[in-house]
Amino acid sequence: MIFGIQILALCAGLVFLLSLVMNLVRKNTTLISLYLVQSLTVAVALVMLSSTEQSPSLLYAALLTLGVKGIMAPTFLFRLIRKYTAHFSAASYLSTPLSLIVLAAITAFAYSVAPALTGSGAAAVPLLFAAIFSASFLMVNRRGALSAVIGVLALENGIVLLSTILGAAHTFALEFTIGFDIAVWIAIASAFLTMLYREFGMTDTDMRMMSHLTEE
Amino acid sequence: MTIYLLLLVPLLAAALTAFTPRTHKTHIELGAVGAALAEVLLALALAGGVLGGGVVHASDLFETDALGAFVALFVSVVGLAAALHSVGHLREEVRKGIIGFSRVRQYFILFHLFFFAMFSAVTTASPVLMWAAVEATTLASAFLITFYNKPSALEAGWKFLIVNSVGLLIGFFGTLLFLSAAAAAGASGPFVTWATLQSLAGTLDPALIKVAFIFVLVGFGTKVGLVPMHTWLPDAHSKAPIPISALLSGVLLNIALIGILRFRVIADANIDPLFSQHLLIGFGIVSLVVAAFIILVQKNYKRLLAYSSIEHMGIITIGFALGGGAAVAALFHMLYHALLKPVLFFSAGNFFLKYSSTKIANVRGALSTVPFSAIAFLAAVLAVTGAPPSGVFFTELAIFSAGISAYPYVVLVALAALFIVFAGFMKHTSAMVFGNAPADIPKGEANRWTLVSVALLFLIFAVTSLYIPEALDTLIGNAAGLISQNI
Repeated sequence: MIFGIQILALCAGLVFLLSLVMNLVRKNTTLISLYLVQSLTVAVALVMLSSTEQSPSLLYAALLTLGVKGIMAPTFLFRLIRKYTAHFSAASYLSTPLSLIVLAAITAFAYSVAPALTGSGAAAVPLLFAAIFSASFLMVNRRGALSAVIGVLALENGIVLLSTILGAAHTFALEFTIGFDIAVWIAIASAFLTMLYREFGMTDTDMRMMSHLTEE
Repeated sequence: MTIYLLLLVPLLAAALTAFTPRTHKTHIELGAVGAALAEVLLALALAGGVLGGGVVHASDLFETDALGAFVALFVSVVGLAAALHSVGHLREEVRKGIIGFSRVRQYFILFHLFFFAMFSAVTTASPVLMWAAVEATTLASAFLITFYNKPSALEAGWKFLIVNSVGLLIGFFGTLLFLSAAAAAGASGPFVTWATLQSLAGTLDPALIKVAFIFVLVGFGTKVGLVPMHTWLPDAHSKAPIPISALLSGVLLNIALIGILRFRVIADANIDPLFSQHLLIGFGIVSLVVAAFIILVQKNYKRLLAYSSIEHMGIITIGFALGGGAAVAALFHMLYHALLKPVLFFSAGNFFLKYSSTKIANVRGALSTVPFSAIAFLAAVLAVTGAPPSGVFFTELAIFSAGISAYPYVVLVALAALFIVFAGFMKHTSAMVFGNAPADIPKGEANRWTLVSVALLFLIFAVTSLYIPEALDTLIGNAAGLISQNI
């Protein structure tokens, strides 16, 4: 049991670390790879929970996570990268040192609020709060639309793992609903990325894009 | 059975539309109107069932109470009008060469899927399925917003997708926290239902419930369009095809609001109801005030209507926050807004078909070019801004009367904001409707389909403003009882 809790905390730490690194890398392929590893970590955490709680349904949930987030999502996104290789921006608004300062503040904030918010003393909880905040920061700090997609997916990873550790999301039916929803979301987001590229020849959300929504 | 049929009809209609050959375009249009009509009848049957037995139970996952039946009813009625208007509007765009058959087919497939998602959201017994259904409404409508494939529409669709997805993920986290608290209190089974959550409400961890409710409010509030999470709304509503703007504005926002209210019942049974009341009033009044000032200086009439929706969501939220009689008034306000906003969008759509512009400055003398639409627009503007004897006047009066003793400053600010809204709408509407039309604008309405939809909804609004059928009154009373039982 204690071993299981330690593995869970380790997985949570890894998810947090990967969220941090996502904010610092400048290559989209690396960003997708990091998301892939993060999804695999969530799947491993679910397998661990399934074994400690003797719950086969959590094992199915882990397999679903693996299929949707570990295989399907990265495949879709890598294919897009291959197709439009030089055109997806990974630039950020803040420089790396500034981003690091913001991430440090985010982590400190997560540690200060997580125990009070959830009433849980588990080591994994503040780490996952920090992972969620970092994923949100990824979305607002990056100019590229692909980064926004990865940010949403990383945010979802953090939320699912945190909820699982807090006691929710323990059934296959629930995980299936989430998995199905994410699968459809990924397909639609990929279609949008393609449309954005075809229309603008790039997918920056601050330059040519988002400049047409001014008052007419 | 009724619930399953209500879900099956739009799904079946979407499938049939997908396989309709190019030579049978009329079948797609008739299918859309027929499906919408069937949905109205099924929603009526559902409401009848709820009035007879309290809850219509289909399975562990799907059941409908008075609140769900009420929302399903007005969603289906607005859906029928939107289907009628879509036929006329798209015919006109096909005639002008703006779109072709495949786009019309794509439109109606997504239209039906959008309704499937909305009906799923209001008929499910599970909070998680409701969240998934609300998310599905985002996914179905994202491609409808980008329907014209213009750069600005694409941007609006992308913004809609990302902002709502993030918002709903936050709402999802709140949902899971509620479920986490329920699991700790002994709830089990694949899907925890609203009923289970309510039965356990008193035993849930209060600290966790407070946090969970904040996440739910911010998350689902993004979809409702509450300020400051509203940023997607004016863009999406102004770039979508007119019938879709009407649906987004008139019905979709309410679906997400229902989610917040259902969680609020559980939160209020667990913690001090003032907690949720203060939060809802805060978001409501900020939404109302911000929307009022933007309405005053607005230059685009579709965005004007979008901000009006934010304003009304603010009023409705304040009504629900106050509870009791104000909650009844808020439900009536929801109904009136759902009926009026499509009238405004449909009439505005008829302006667009004539003037080919959404700029207020480019629409002049509508009364002489499209007299029916201009009169409908003017009447709906008067009604939606709360001029008596509109039902909106009475609901606003009831909501703010209920709040005057406990929150006098909030009510004063709200009344000032409503005055600004009225002034803003009058300024823009008088400029558009009256005056001399440009010489190159031909006179006459686009086609009958686009008038029937306007007339249908305005007639229902006018009748329900002056006379409320007993069954509807009971249904709304029961629904209000469900959402303000702990206030």
